[in-house]
Amino acid sequence: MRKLRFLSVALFLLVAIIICVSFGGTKIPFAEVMKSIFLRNSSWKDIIWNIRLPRVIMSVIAGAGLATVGSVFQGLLRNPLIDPYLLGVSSGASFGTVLSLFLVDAFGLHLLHRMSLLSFTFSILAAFMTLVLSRRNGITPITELILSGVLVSILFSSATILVMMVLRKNITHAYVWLFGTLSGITWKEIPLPLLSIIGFTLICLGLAQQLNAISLGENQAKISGVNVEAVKILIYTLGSFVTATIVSVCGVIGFVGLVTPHMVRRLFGNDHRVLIVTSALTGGILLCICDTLARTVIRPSEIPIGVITAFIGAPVMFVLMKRSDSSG
Amino acid sequence: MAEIVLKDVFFRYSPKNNFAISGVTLKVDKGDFVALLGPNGCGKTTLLRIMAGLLPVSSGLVRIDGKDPAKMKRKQFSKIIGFVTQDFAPVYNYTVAQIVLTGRLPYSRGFFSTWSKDDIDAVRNALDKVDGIKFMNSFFYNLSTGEQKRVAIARILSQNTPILLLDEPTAHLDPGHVIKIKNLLKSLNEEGKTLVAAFHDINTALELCNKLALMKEGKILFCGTPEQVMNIENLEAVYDVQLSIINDPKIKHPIVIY
Repeated sequence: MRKLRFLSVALFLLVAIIICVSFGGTKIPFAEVMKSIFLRNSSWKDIIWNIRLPRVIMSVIAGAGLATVGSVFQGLLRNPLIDPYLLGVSSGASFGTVLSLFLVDAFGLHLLHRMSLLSFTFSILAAFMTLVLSRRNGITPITELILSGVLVSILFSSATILVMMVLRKNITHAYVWLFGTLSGITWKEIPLPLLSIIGFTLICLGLAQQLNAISLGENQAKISGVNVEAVKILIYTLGSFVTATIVSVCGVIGFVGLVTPHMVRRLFGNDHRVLIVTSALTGGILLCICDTLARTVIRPSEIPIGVITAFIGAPVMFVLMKRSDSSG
Repeated sequence: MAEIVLKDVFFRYSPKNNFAISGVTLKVDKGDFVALLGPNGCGKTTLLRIMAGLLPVSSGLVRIDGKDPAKMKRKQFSKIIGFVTQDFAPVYNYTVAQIVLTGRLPYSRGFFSTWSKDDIDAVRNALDKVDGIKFMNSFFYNLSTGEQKRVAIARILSQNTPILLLDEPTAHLDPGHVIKIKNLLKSLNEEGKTLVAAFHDINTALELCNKLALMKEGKILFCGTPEQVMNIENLEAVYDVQLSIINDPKIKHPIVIY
């Protein structure tokens, strides 16, 4: 039964990708999409291969990455309210992007903006600061980690607002990015997030039993022989790296990393061997659909994808909470 | 060789705090069943955590099976000593089998390893001992408190260690479950396992254990066989209340009335 559900999710993702490619500024007939993808002999081929597919693929990668990191972080910290931005990665990335917009505005440094280099650098810096600040006597206590993450986030958010005050011209662009956008994604931007999410997923699957033990309690895991500190540092570092590669390309997309693991836990249970893969698939589906809505609801304009994920994620989270209450 | 040796052990949670454990010396031999007794906050749980290698001592010597826990790899250490804590409360609802399987982690062969037949057999065995096969595939939070306690014990039993530490194994259980747990502990001790358990119920300790350690304010005040340490003066010195002891020829051990 569980295998069937698992296969259904994988198949659903495949179908979602193909259907979502046909939606956008212009509706492309489904038959043309199939011809373009599998036979490459349609007149829509260039639009599909150069614009739609990279964008849809990136939405799947970003959704999969955020959901996987979210599910693993929630297990590691035994806290269902944790999301991939725990270590301040999103605030760091936001500051990096706004700073790069400022540099474009003030000094014409376009290279920095296009490569999302500053965004990536500051998101990694924020995660590093959080980890260093939370360390105490050679360990990383959960409360200190969460508090340090909040403090670092506030610091970078304040710095972001400060730069935005100075940077009045490009403020709309900054706002769109701050709520996430997959507009203008090309194949070039895909390899780093893709490789990082594949690597992270494989490592987490390898450590799935240890993650199960840690989610019973850190002491329980230590009693059963798990090197808890090593697993925590490895997962925090790699998880934040994955998040940074996504956020620096797509902006801050909220809710996917928080809500998807809750949905998946209800469907497939809490065993990390299953949870990690199904979170990736479900997160991919969710963001793929959200991005399609973002680019079609008020076409030809686009809505920031974070707005769509929030509109869908908040009610879903509310329903899950209510159901959890009623089932005791 | 003694299984557990503590010599002049001191421990405090932070430099600002007083010592939670103050100059404790204790020797536990192979096959012993030692009870830690004393009022709330006397340091029983802290002492068990030190033995389990979860807390580093401020000073003193700790040897488990002749080795220093601080210098052993966690995985090796967890093949020697298992610890049933009192606070076993997973945030996420796992099945009983999934929980008990985590006790087999010391025997996993590393990255991507799957459970072997030995692991599955060990889980079944452990659940069988706690009479838990019937709820093997149930979710933890669908079980009663007594059943949950048995799952926590089964998890550590599947770890298959020669030494078992237990923190209040019979707390919050009804008489039926208390008797089941007591019988289980007796049979584990008879199998040759060394047990150290913290108890609130003095009579349970008297029924099960061959050695008692009476603790107060982080110190072991009296330690020895029940006959050596169980008297009114010692009990009143530890608990600061008046107690009485009666000897009933029908019952093998004295009974403390309070």
